[in-house]
Amino acid sequence: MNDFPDPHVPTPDFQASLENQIARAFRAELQFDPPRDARRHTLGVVMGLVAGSVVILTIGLVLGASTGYASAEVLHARANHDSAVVPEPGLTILRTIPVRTTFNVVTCAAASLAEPPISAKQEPVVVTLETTARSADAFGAVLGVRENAEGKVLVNDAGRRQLKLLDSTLAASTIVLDSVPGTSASYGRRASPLIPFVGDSSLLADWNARTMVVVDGRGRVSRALALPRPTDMIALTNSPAFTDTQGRLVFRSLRLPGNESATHMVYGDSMAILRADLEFRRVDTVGRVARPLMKVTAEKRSDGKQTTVYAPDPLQTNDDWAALANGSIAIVRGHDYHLDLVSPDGHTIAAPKISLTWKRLTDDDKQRLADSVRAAQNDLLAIGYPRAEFWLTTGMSCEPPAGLNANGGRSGRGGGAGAPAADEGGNCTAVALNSSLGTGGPATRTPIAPLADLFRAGPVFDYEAPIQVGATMPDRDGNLWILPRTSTLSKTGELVYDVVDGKGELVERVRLPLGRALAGFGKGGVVYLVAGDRATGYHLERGRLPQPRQRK
Amino acid sequence: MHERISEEQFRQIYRDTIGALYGFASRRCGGQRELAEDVTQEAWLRAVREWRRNGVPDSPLGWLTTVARNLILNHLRRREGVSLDSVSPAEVLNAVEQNSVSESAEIASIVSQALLRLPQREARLLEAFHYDRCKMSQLAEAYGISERAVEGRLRRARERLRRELEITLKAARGFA
Repeated sequence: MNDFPDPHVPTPDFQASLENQIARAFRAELQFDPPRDARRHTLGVVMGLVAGSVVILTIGLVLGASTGYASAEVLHARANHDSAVVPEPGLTILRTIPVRTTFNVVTCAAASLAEPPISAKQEPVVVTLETTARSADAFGAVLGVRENAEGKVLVNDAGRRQLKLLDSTLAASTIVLDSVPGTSASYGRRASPLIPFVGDSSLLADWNARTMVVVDGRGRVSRALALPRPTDMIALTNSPAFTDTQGRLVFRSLRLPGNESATHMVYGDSMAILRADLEFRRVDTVGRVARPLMKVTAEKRSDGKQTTVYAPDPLQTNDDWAALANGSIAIVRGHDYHLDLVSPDGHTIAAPKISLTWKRLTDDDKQRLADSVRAAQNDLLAIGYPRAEFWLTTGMSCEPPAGLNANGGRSGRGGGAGAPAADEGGNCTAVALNSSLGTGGPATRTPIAPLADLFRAGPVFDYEAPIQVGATMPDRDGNLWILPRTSTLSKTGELVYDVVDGKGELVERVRLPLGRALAGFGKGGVVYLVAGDRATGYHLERGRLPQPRQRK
Repeated sequence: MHERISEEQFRQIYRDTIGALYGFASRRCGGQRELAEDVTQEAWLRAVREWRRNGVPDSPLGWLTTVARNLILNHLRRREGVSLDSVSPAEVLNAVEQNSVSESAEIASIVSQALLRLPQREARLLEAFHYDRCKMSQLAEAYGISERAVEGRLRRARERLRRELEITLKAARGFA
């Protein structure tokens, strides 16, 4: 039926369907057509506005001649207590009739319903933390603090490879794990972070056995755990690790090359956050954090060993992350300073951006930063360090904080500031060596030639990156403490943390005492700080945040 | 201000012009029904939008055929080269001579692409002759010249078209 001898004649079906389609399109156009008298309507509106303006101006001109309550005549009469002279403005009655009052009530009520409470829009409270106790013992380096249910504190002294249990006053201490090898209470041959585990218990790496040792709240070894993937032990101990509410270990993966050639290994600009289920022996990926690299170069030395030059780009924005006490994983996105919250069931919520005073970088600033990175990197290579890893510290006090050494030997997270030099604006910027490597370095290392080329991972942003790696730490009350790279609230170089709740909203800012760095948390607003220097040792201090109702 | 057109008037114009418009498109598409229907449909939908706002042009069919021609040319520009496996250069040139260009989709495509490179005046004349099958007398009346003059213009336009076709075919077969 549809075969037609002339191919250039439309079929009846096509003709009919197209006619219906055109009719529908015609009606749709008609529906959304502008009104025919739009111009006339617009003209009417304009004329109405003009007429209204004329009327209002006329009323104001005629009746406004009497300035009523504020007129000079009335003021003079009022000064002379001459009540008889006080005129009564013509429209005074409008102030007294209930219509205006009612109108105000209605509009104000609507406005108050539409707007959030004023207090919610204000900048968060800045709390200055004060310490109430200080440990009698000095530590070599505090690499983790755990407060148990009795109020006693387990301190991981990684510098001396000891695990100490302090009483609730921090005055008395007991060594529960020691550096002496071969005993049942040996710490181990390498420093290991104290990873929070289920309840009061913690995990320590046993490098000899390639297992994780579980220590209870008093520091006693209770059992050993084998990781689902033994190779994850390095990743678990090289970066902050946590345990979620279901007993799964959450940690950051190692860098894995994405593309290799004869001379270069190319790495991605992000790293995975992994979650290891010890029960079902499986590892899955929770998310990724941005960690741009400039370059990774593998070189074979004359002794046959291979050296890898691993160069993160300190001028790029990084993400940081932590597992919160409620089981969510909070990823701080450095590009716009907001949190992505990954709930235990896998749902991700993007929280609103956190208030921050962004610091704009001029072209000169960018060049200066790039030059300083290049110089610092080559200095490090010259003293034989293959891992030329740096971070930038900017906008801080130009003098090293009291109690810290000039090389920034903070042992807590968020530290690592070098000895900076002031710029024209009075702010300080420095390129500091990664604290995990120490400073200087053994003189016996073979110098490495400067890199021929340093690649930027990307163009330097127009605004300074808000955070650096290791800037976050979760407390035990469900909040995340974030140390911004710069803070206008720091008076003399104190660290000022942004405290964000489990919804990703900024609840308060906490200013630490000068020269202190965060070491850990207890429940109920208890904060442990570390103060001191490498020469005399570090002391643990405890402070407590005031309850919300008492904060000012 | 132009008068707004009613739906019934629209339908009437549609019924009056659909045959001619479809034939116009179909011949330039070499009888490819699907393509011709798409072109016709698109031309009319554009007409709905345009005519509702700015009124019906003096020659609705002329407006529609202009839009349809542009749509076909755009289609030919976007599509990849026509496969010449099923048609030889001699067949294309012969179709031009025999005035049977619109009988084959491949030939119509090749000729349309060659027409794109001709001056617009000559291309229109050839289109009217080869696709629309206009007679000499009709062309003479439309152009306001004698039939002999039309023949001369057609001959010159055809010669130019032949040269363009030879270039096209050589390029397509890798001879250029």
